[in-house]
Amino acid sequence: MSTQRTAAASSRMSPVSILLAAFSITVLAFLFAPIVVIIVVSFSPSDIMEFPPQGFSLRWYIAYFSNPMWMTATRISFLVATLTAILSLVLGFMVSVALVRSSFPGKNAVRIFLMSPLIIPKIIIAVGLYFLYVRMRILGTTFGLVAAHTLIAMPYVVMIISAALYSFDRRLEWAARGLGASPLGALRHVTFPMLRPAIISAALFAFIASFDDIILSLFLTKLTAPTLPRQIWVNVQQIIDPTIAAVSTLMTVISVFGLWLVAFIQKLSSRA
Amino acid sequence: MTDTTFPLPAAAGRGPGRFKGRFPWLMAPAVIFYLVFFGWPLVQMLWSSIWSDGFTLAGYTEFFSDPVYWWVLGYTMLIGVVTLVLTLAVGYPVAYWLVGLNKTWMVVLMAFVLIPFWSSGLVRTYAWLVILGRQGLVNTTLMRFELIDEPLPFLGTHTAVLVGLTYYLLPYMILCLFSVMNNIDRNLMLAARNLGASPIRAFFAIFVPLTKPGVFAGSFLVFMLAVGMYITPALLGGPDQTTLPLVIALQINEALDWTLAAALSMILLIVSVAIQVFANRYVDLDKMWGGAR
Repeated sequence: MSTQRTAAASSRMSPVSILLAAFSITVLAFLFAPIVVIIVVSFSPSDIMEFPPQGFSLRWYIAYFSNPMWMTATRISFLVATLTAILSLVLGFMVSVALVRSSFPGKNAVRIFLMSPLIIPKIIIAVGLYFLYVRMRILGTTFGLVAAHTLIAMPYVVMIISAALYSFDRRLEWAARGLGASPLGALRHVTFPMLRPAIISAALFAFIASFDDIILSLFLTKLTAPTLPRQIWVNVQQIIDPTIAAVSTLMTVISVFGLWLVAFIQKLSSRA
Repeated sequence: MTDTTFPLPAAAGRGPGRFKGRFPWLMAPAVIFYLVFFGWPLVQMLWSSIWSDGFTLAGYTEFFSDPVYWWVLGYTMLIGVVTLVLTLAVGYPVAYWLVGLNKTWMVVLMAFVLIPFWSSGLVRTYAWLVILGRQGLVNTTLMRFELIDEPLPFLGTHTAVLVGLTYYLLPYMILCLFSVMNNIDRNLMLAARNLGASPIRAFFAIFVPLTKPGVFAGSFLVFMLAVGMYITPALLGGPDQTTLPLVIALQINEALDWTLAAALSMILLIVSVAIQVFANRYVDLDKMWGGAR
């Protein structure tokens, strides 16, 4: 033990470690700085982007909340993300049970097929769906966008639920069955409650995957009914206005809140 | 399938045994959904690339005969490689440093990686627009201190695109490396030290080889994402920073040449699949996706 401590202590003081620490802190600052810039600029009172701003105001947040264009986009984003979370959760839960609890030929092929939207460039999925939707005449519909987002959200759901199912002690289910519970009863009263943290995490991941998506929205929505990222995109192309900074700050808050919620739920469930 | 010797309840006929055969069907809805919204579009894309009022290879011929497309493909790959090298070179020391911290600091500082990771990519790219733009942060600051008279054109340069991509993808790399490094038994390093190895030798002979899975997984992920990226080159780059995804979008939105767009998409798809097949020899993709345990 004493060697470990001296080794650790001596390495901590060496110039190499100091250099390493300085480098790492700089990189972490680099990762965080742009987000700070956006947040600070969003509270600027002036029409142009200045840093540091010459005061504090909420005018860009008021501009966002009082603009029907932004509000429509926000509503669409929330609706699509919620529907995506529900659809990908239902499909993803079923497929996870199949993948974890049964063996059949081609199981790995199915898993790789289901995961591949994560790896294939999103633009290819967007173009493919664009062609398909034009022919199916569902381009610009909510359903079309939800289906597209479900493709990219489901891999996360399958990953999270599968992991939870692997660590699930099936004997608890069998005990319930042995005590007279029906298969559905065991599922409802034993399996679901124990998987709840994973289910909520998966839903949040799916929600954020949909909420943050820009490429699929760019190809598959109408200009009159854009998602929030697409509305940002349109505005960025035209004019740099601090309203986008305010919207961006809110989007970051939503994503980070979702992430925090996932971490919080996992902490709670690991303690239980 | 977890087989266990736990004594099954007497009602074995209705017990878990029978479910073994029934569970595979639970995947049917998802698989059908994927075939309709993922498999079919890809097949249709392949079809569109070789068929418009009859068999044609016009899209592919155009790609292979016009040096502009070769240049775009080359640039796209180059951007992928450079971004990979940059994120690896920057991410490796940072991940190493994070793993060595005590628990509290690790959690606090990991937030600096996780928060950007979870923020919208568009928002983070827009941030660089605010920083590097003509009236951006850097230019206004330099002008205020009268270091320059005219705003410097940062946007539309290779540097801007590389900074944007490195910034966007660095968290992926750090997280891949971190998860592997965190599971390395540090006592191995101490053992090497006790056996007389210098710290540098212990690091390169013991630690680095053990991080290989993380390096491969991170490199693969970063390269694939960089090559397929649309928003970063579109917002931060100029005409000289045209990548394959940008050309594809251009064909669909403005040139309206579906045959060419489909052919270009197929080429990007083939390149990505080829890289995946190649990477599969070094990266356990199945494990990466939470498979086999």
